[in-house]
Amino acid sequence: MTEPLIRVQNISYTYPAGTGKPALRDVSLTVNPGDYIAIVGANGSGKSTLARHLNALLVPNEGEVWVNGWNTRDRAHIRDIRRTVGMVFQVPDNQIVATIVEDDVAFGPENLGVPDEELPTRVAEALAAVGLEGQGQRASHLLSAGQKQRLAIAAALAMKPLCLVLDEATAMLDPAGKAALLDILRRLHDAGTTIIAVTHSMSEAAEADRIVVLSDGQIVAEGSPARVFGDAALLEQCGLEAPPVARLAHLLAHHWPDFPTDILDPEALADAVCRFLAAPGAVPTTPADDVSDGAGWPSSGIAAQDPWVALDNVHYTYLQGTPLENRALRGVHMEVRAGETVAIIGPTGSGKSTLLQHLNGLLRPHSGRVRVLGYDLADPRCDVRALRKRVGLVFQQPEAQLFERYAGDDVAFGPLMFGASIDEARERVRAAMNSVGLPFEAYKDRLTLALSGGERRRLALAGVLALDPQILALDEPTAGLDPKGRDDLIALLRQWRRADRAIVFSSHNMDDVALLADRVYIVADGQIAHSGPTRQVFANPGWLAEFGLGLPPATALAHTLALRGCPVPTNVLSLEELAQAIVRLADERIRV
Amino acid sequence: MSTEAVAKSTPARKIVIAGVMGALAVFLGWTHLGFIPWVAGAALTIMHVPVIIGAVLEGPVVGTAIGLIFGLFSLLQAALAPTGPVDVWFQNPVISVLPRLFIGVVAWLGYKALKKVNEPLALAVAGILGTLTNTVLVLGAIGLFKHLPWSALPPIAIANGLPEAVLAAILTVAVVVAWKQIETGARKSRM
Amino acid sequence: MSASEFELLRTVTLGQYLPTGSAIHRADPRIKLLAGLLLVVAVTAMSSIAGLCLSFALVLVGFLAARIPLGYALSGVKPMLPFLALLGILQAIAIPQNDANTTVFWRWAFITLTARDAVAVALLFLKFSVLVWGLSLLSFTTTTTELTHGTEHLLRPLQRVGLPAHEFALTLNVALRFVPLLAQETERLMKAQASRGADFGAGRGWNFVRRFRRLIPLLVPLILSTLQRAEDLILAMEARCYTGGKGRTYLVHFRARASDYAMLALVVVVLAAALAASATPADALAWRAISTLWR
Repeated sequence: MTEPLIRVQNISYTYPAGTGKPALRDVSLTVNPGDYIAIVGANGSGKSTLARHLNALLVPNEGEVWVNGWNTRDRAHIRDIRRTVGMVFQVPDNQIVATIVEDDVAFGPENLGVPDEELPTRVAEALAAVGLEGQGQRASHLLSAGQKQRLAIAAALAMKPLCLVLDEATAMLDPAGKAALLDILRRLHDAGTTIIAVTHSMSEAAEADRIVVLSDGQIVAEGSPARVFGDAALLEQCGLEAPPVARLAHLLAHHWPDFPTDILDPEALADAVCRFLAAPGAVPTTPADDVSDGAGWPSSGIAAQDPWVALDNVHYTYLQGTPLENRALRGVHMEVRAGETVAIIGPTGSGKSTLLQHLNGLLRPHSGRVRVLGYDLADPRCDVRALRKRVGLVFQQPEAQLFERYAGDDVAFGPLMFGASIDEARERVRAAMNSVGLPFEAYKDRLTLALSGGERRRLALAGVLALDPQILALDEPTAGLDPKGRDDLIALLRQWRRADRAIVFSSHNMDDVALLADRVYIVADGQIAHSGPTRQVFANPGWLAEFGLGLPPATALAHTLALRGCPVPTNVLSLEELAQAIVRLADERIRV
Repeated sequence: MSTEAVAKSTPARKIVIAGVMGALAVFLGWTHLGFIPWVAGAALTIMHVPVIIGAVLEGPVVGTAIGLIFGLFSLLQAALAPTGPVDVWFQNPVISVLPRLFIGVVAWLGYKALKKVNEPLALAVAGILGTLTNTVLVLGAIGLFKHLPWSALPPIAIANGLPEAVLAAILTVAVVVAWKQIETGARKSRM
Repeated sequence: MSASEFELLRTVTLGQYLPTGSAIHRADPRIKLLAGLLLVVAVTAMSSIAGLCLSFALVLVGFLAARIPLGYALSGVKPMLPFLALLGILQAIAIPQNDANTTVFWRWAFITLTARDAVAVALLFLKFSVLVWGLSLLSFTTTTTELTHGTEHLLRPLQRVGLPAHEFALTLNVALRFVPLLAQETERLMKAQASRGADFGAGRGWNFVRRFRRLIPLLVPLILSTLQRAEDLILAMEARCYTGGKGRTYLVHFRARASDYAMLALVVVVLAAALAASATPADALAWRAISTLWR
């Protein structure tokens, strides 16, 4: 029996400046050397608070935390504790201390008083461990988000920790950046480092050996991923959702009550599905029919009209004529029609945000044409303010842009700017706030900064909807939200859609795209690499893999099943569709 | 919003608050966002507001450090990227750096004296006192070096200093009240 | 074309490092900082044309040694020329010279331009040029990182008498880290508000109340999000065992070579000579000569 690395004993904690509600209540946890633990929970469940107790950034009000035999209350060992448990935080930019990569990695060991002559080796080793070797002299603010997070890991590793705690460290990364980070974690774990990952992404949690579920400041479940994800009711109750494989298993269990629900591995699921399909009937000879778009959004009827948005060979270069010149768009063609929902996907830095900012004239093309709702942006006399009233643009993490003290006033900014009277503005604000699920009467006088993260995001959306735009453009609308917040937002956008409105959004989350978009543009390196109806784009995994994008979970599972000889259609977009297709397949076989 | 986990004023906290507020002062000056055109080609400035906010949040030492960054930046800007005739005077550190070291201390004293009475009021007073310290000491130094006759100074102090004090008070109150989520009597939106 | 309406901010980069690989670039940044500091102090105290000319020659030699094209330095001075002219005129108007000893060049109404004025303007111009060129030389040849490290190492001996050298250098480093972040954040805020109908282009001029009211929605969230970032950075620094300057070691070390000391010695000698020139009657002779020539 090895000595535990971290022992958390019945701790409770209440933030001094908060509402007085405890953030942690009687939490106990044991971490052994070599563990890989995921701490999951919805926003506000207390998981970050727990993480901060693990290296004495917070000290509990009640109970004790022991790290390697030291009590975190013992200020004499604070350095020993923090050197033992390294931390990586959520926002890449906010944890880099120095302007040069090398200096930042050296910061921790310098603080520890590691001898001068040992520092260069420590820095080089740490950078090599995260694949940033030879980049020591680069300016830290010019790294990509993924590189910044790897730098943060290197900075922790340079202190030679026994354990690494990652607090939502992948939340701001694109799929390729996420994959690279998880890969580094796996390698560190194999080399003996204890890993504790705080996350609300269940597919990341599935990487761990043990999952701890927090809800409302308490641990409500703890166990192997298979055990925790087998309890769908519990997860839902905590505002979480099981990983796609487990969700599909649950859906199939509705049809076949004895279908195993503790599956996490796609291959194992494929085995089970094949077994259930093979049992009653024979192997069919005809391939599966593709799912048709019958129930989808009616976009075909309006296709004859002129497009609302037409980009023709659009080029845009930031800092033109300077050494930092950056050709963000290089000949983009794109169309959006009335009633459509269009997704723009692509790696970080591919030009998605630049493209969206052309839709309401924040940026104007350096060459090429942009026509939106009859406005021609190449025309210097184009009235962009009038255009902006009809094209609402919601930025990434719009909650950081709220500025009024009271929620109602913030939503009113747009209407008032466009010259509405107070009474007119009030009606618009009322409608917009009600539509995003923040009832006007209850929320208008609330302090903006006291709202929760999800509420703030919806409030920011209301601020744009209050202009009653025809086209709604959103940059990464669900980034950083927990599963519940994300579901709410997607439901809200689905509800907002109408035949006389259009939505254009960018996303790193393929599930968002699958659930919302009629058509998809893949942007890479400032150009449209591929485009087409959502089903068609996701039927070409190669198009996505090329840019590290991956498939929506349901589509990926369908591909796995198909590869195993189970003739399901590979162009499904949701788990419900996939489950139905499998069930239908089974029914057909029974008839045969 | 201010859910700082490390509640005590550690060295890291002092350094970071001084650093980011110093960066803000530099940024407002560099981009000219911190200048508002005023009568007769003059401009009102709010570049010193980060000094006041830093002093109110973290005390006089941090305030002085931000003031030093602000002062060094005005010295360097006057020397490296001058934009007006007045910049020639600001190449003298006694005019550009020294007065700025006192903004934070005075603002903090004002805040501390009134905090118990009424916090928003204390913040407004800190904004006003901090600004007036800046105006009076900078103009004083200018007078000392005989760049302008003493008689010319009071009108400038009134024409620039007073509106700047009002702007600084508004900003300081708006930011700190939101950050510390201080309750202010009227909980009402205009809607 | 208003394509770059919000893009101005992206160009915010402090420092203007221009790598040419010269000996000055490779010199110990502590020595360069010290030389720069001496120059600023000496020139501020100097009030003789001869001394300033000597200092100016020193800076010129520095430029040549650093292989920085003189055009770069000139571009820094050019925008100031009209202002200097204006200042000269102001000097002539505002501070009347009722000194009988001086030669009057020109008189119109209450404006008198005397030889003394001419010398005063020349002094101002020289002082200004030496400072601009001297500090430009420092920033052309030294990266911001070298500057912060240099400051820290230069001031480290003073730490014993209680001067927080390390703390101040780290504060500067944090400030330099945050300036580009502030630029990004401001660009995002401006764009988000423009999307909601704010108009940043129009309304320049007199209506300063409107200008200020437009700044509030920009500055308040900018400062609040900066404070939020600051909280994150504080945590990250605490997590990496930062407890102040005591007991820290350093990755970067500077070692001054003989050539660096020689450079510093040269600067000290020239500046001392320039200061000494202020004490000699050389200046008086110079402007008497000008007056004589005018007659």
